Amino acid sequence: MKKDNIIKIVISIIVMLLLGYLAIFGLTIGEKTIIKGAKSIKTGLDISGGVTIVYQAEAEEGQEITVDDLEKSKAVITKRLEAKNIYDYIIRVDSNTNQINVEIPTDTSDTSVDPLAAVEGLDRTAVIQFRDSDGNVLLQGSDIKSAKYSEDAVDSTGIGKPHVVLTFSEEGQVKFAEATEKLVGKPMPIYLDEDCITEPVVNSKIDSSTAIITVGSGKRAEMEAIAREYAMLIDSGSLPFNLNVINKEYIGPYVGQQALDISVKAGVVALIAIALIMILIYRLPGVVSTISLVIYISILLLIISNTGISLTLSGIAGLILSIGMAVDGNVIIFERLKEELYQKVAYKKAFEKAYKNATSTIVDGNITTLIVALVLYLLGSGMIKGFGLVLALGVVFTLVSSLLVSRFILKQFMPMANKTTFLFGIKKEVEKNDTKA
Amino acid sequence: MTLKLNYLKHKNIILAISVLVVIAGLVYGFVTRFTLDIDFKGGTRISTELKEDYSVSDIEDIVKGVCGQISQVQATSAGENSVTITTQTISEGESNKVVEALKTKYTNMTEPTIRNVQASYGKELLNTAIIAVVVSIVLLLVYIAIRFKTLGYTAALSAILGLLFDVCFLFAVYGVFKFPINSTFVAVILTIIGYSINDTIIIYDRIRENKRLVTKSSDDKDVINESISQTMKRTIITSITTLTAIGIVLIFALVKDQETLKQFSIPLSIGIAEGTFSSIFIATNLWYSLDKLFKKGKNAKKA
Repeated sequence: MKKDNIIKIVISIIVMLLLGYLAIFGLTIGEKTIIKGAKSIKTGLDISGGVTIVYQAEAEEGQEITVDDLEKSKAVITKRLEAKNIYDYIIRVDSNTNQINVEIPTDTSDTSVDPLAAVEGLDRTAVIQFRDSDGNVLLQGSDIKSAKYSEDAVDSTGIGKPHVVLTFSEEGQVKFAEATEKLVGKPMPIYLDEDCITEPVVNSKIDSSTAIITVGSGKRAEMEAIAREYAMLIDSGSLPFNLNVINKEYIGPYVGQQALDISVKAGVVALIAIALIMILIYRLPGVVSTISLVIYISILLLIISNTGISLTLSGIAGLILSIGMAVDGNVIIFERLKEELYQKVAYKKAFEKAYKNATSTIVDGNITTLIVALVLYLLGSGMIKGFGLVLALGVVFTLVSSLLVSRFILKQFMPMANKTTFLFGIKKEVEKNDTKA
Repeated sequence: MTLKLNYLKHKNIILAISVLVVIAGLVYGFVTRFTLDIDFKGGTRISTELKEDYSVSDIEDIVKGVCGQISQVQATSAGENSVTITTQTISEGESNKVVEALKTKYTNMTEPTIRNVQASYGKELLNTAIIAVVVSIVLLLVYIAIRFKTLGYTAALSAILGLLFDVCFLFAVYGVFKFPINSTFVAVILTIIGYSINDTIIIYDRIRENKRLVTKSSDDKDVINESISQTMKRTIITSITTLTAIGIVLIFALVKDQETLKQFSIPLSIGIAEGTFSSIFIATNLWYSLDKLFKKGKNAKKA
């Protein structure tokens, strides 16, 4: 082993320890949390309970609330929740009483945070209208195909500013062109639920499929929050009626904190057990797989705690599967390596050949799983979407972990194969038998 | 160093027994009824303030004693020791009896509100899961057919049949053990699909590689046996490590008697073992048989 190899191994171990530390404790400088640790991982409705809100649909005079309307508002609320990165929700519609019941996870022990902050805007009717100064409606929600948040530069200064980009439907584009032609030199206020959110002055006729809504000036964080909220509300469409909160209360978990505590303990024990099994079977490569597995799990935990995805039992299932697949990637490589070493191939060549053969296996196996995960994420809703997301992340990092991280570390250890095959799990007697055969 | 066995020797018997076991399990499940969770079936929800300390198991026992139903007890924040008790749909008479029984034990409790929950949430979850699985299966068919062209289209078909076997097997497990069909069930099925397809692909990958080495072979039997043998150690070690992870959760759940974790880790453990089995004995076996049949048909046409 050269000095260079040893340095690289030491660096790998330091990276592992650093990532492991960050994943558990996070990074706090002064008062500010820069990276969230495992303690900040949100747990799901099933594990830590949450808040349940009952909305009463209120029809305007002469309006009748149909089952279709209720289903539509359910779809709107679903879209709004998912825009807020909340996948772990339950929405129940009761068509007898015209009530909609939404349950989302919150930290019930932390009473300093208003749980309703998380559901802010869910019940907004969100009717968007472009009007002229006399109050005539020129364009409305049905003319808008999509609304997306953006931070690109909107004027000649070239400085990015939070705003919303609207894309019109074909009909909407025609209406917009007509309206701007008529209103040259005049204001065209945009209303959201009777609040004027912006009042641009039309300079010339605009025949374009897109338009932007700026949110005035102020602190960047505030502007971003407002723009994101507008984008979420306009994009999800408007509710067919007004919703009033008639009941909100905390609900306890039905699985229980105990289940999470058990899972965490079991997870730690399982990690140690897997490490022992791998080291016992593969010796040095087993140590390599342990280092890359710790790095892998740390990265996954960091992503989960910092994106605010809540961890449910199904999420834990997805995690276990991806850990299984990460270990599998290493097993495939080490088995190949052993095959090559048994045939007395020089270690450098054995290493290259093992990786060459194992790569296609690992890529094919993981891509098939990735296909399933992506379909679940794109087509699923709620819990299934969350499961797909965790699994997809897991698979992508499995590829990184086995094809890059393990490879890098294992390469540094390979020169030792010249001196001793024992450390690579090659048994002496078998070696003799094989050479005889 | 490899386990050299003839994995194809009893292929038809193994296939027949496997299918029979699954069918028996499914029939048993349907006859004795699958247990559906409240969100998959609808149910009755009783909310009240007990105004005194209570234990969850006491309430569960009361409900069970009155109407024989398993209930879910959740604490809520509405008032003093508030709880929501959820059961499968019970008649008004029965729910009144439950309330009476509760009142005898918790004398200070407030008049409860009783409402019925519709099954829409669970149905929707199941529907999106089914759509997602069907779409993934179509995409997997295309992917495997392209990547494993040398194995013929029968390979893709067999892999998918293997997955369908996994899904049916898990349904049978739930039917026999009477685990509730709920969102955990959906997660377990999806996990096993992901695990099993990976297992199948790894064996296929080895067959593909070995077929390249053999110049001409009238029968793939040797190639398949060789490939399964070569990947056997990997298959076993990966199964052991994954089973260790989920098995430890299971042991903890059993020791602490944590019902939900049991419902989650038992079928997952069984499913992982079964997924490994199906990759070798369902998908690969089936591919061999289908491929032979297909080639025979082709030759017959030529002649």
